[in-house]
Amino acid sequence: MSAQPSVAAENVSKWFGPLVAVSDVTFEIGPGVTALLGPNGAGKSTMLRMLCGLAQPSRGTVRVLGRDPRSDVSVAGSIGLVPQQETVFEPLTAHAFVRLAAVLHGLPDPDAAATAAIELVHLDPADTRRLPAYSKGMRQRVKVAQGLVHDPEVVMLDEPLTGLDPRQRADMIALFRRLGAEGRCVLVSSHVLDEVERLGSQILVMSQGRLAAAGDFRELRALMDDRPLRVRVRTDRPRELAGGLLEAGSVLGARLDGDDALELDTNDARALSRALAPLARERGASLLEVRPLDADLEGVFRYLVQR
Amino acid sequence: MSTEQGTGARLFGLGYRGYEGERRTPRWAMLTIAVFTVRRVLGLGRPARHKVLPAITLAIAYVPALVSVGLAILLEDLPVGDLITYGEYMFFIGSALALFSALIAPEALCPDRRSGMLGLYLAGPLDRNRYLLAKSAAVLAVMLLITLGPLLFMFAAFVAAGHGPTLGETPELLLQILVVGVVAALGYASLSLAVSSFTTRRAAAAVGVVLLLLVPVIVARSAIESADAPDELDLLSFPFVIGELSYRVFDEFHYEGTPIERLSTSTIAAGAVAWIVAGALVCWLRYRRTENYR
Amino acid sequence: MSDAIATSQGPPPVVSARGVVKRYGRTTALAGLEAEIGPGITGLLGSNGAGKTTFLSLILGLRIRDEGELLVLGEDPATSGLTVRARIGYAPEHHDLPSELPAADFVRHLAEVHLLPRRAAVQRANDALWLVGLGEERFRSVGAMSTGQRQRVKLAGAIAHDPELVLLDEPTDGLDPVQRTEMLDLIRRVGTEFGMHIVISSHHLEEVERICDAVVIVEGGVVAHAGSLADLRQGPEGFLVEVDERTEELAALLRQRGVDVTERDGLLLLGASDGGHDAVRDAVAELGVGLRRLVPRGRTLEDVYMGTEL
Repeated sequence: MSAQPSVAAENVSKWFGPLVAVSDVTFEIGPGVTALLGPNGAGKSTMLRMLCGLAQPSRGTVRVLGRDPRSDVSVAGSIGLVPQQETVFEPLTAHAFVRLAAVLHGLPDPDAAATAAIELVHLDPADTRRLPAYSKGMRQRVKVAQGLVHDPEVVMLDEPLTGLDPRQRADMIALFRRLGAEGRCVLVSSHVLDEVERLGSQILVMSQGRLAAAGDFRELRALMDDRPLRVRVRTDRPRELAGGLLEAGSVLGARLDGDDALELDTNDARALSRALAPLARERGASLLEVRPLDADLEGVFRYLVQR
Repeated sequence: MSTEQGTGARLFGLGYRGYEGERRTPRWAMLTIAVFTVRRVLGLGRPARHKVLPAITLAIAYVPALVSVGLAILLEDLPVGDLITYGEYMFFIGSALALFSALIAPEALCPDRRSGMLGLYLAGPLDRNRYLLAKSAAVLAVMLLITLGPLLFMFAAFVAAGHGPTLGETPELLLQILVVGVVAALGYASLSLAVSSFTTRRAAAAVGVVLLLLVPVIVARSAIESADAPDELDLLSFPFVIGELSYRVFDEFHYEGTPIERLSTSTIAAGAVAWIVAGALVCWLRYRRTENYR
Repeated sequence: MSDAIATSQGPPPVVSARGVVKRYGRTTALAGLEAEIGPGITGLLGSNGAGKTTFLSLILGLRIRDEGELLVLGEDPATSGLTVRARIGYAPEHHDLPSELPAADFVRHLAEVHLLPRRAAVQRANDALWLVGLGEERFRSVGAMSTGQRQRVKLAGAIAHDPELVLLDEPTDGLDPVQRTEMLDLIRRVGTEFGMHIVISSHHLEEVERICDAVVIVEGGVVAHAGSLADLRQGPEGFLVEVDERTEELAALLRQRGVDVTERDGLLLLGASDGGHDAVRDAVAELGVGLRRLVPRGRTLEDVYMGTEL
């Protein structure tokens, strides 16, 4: 990263007595949306807590916007955390609850900030019902509003989509994407890969307390194993297309599958993806389907955590 | 699996087997829950530490009976008045009764609401009334162990030691034992179930039961003493209601000067019934109201 | 919203609801719900507060409807609640289970509560735990188990008494990606091999799509859509395009050439058309971007749910 990374961890470890929750993790992430994945018990929540300054690494350093979130008070105002635990909700209205956070952050106009944050998550700031009367999904959104009320540059969310119905989930994902597009660093921990795929392609994968992978998941797939990527292509002129690709060296091998399909093996997914359309046009072949096999996020994830 | 002579091997899948066997009636569900509860509260089928308190309390409750019988055997010519009598037994083991009831009903009711088990039960062939019935039966059965049990035990021990009542006296004595044992069990069960229906925490319920047994006594008696309240107020002193009722049923004389002694037997009996009914009602109403299945 | 009914000609419906109304005070949770849930695996979807949970509690006979007819496995849960619930297995959404109890005891007890004699209950609890993959851990106390294991214990508890209908509420909640797939496969097995009808209440459209035969979507107290997945997803098949960069430019270029394109989450969706494929190929070649994916895409459950048209 040429510019300063939004969030950086260097050789971070955390143990609780004999239990090692996080083991020697190093990464840097910048603006945009990054998903944090990993099996249960992989150390994700602990990692998030350290990144927010709520916990002290046993070893190593954590830097948010270049500063230590635990000791440097000035950066606390730039971090928003939406934790996973079902917080004990006081009998407050949503607005009062979010306003509380605004006050704690020392915002000059807590009412307006709370209103804005609640509207951001598509709830009604004027709702007089108390939080215990809210459904799980609504409470979830209030939590997110609370984490965003101070307009933080870095937002960390631990399983923020639990309990939300599909529309609410789509809204929330759109919100995260928007926040990321605005230049904030949004780190979302999630178990649902279909959701993660919609957030973007940057991922961090933790497993057994260690960092298994970081970066664009497609590039990760390309790095995985010496297993070449297999791509299935349906076309009306398979032989011509195959011939062209082999000549161009974009594929290691090509197999005919019936009269209308090819299975291509490549070590360079990127090169193949660039070569396909021009070559097909040149040879007058229609591309009816281009489908990478086992290259989706689930395949990548499975490979990484079962190694 | 045997194979017939001459036939070859057979392959048995480990796949799913449906159940075609017997299925019981919904009563069975209640019975299962009652038995399960009895075992749980007594610590059966659980780690040893869960058996300790029940065992100790039960022991305390039976010890006077043992002592009484033992003395009667050893000291042939001891005047009867020095032995622990049937009538005073409930009074004598009052603390054991309090402890036990504070232990049992909370253990029976509270964890189910805390652990989500209640919801699972209600999603089965049960409804709230059946559930409560099963739980109450369990608590009652266990309470009988400490109210009726020691009395019957003492009776049996006396008989075995040759100090039992005459054949003519026996039916009446057994009836007395039954009445006292059952009423005491019903009363303690009812009030402890009622208290337990207010909280999901066992410890809080236990404390609540003890307070319900203690505090009204203090309040009633000071009101009677200093504020000149009517003696009937002493019906709020539940342990004494049971204790006094026991004396009356066994027709034994005692004098401590407490207000309840001045009340008629029918008043005291009505008081006991009132406690039983009130407790049951409160518990039932609490469970009707709770929308939360957890 | 249409009150579509998914009928399965042949075997009787597992759940049949006609004009079901349920009110809580002045709020109407269900406003004339009509649905038929057939054999197989059915997904029950709907926004929070749209009546899904109420519908489930009516099916279980935990609440009584105000109006309408409801039959579950041929019986009315309002009047025959006990017998209906004896034939149903239920795995709740929450993760609270009695913590000290060994899993085997827990499942056995539930089976007995569901009217199995003791010996049968012990045996079937054992079988159920093996079937869900917890055979070796079955004597472990539930409190000592991970979320993934607990979800499987709940499932075992729901199927041990060989019910005719199994209701699963968010069965993949709290599970990591690999565990989710395993759980879904397990549920699919239960629904197909074990001969139990399954209703899954879930917010995860993709998961429902993966294993369900049919869905019922509840919105605003009525059924918005219902039917087999095959029927619901009928429609012209378009396709989806994924490129490695400059997605908006590609979209703009295609539109210029008269190709109708929608963008969603960084992907391009195109409707069925002649020449659409070639237009894409040419536009991609011209821009010099990498073509990662071009796959046919029919109407998905998400399209149905969100009411979008391709």
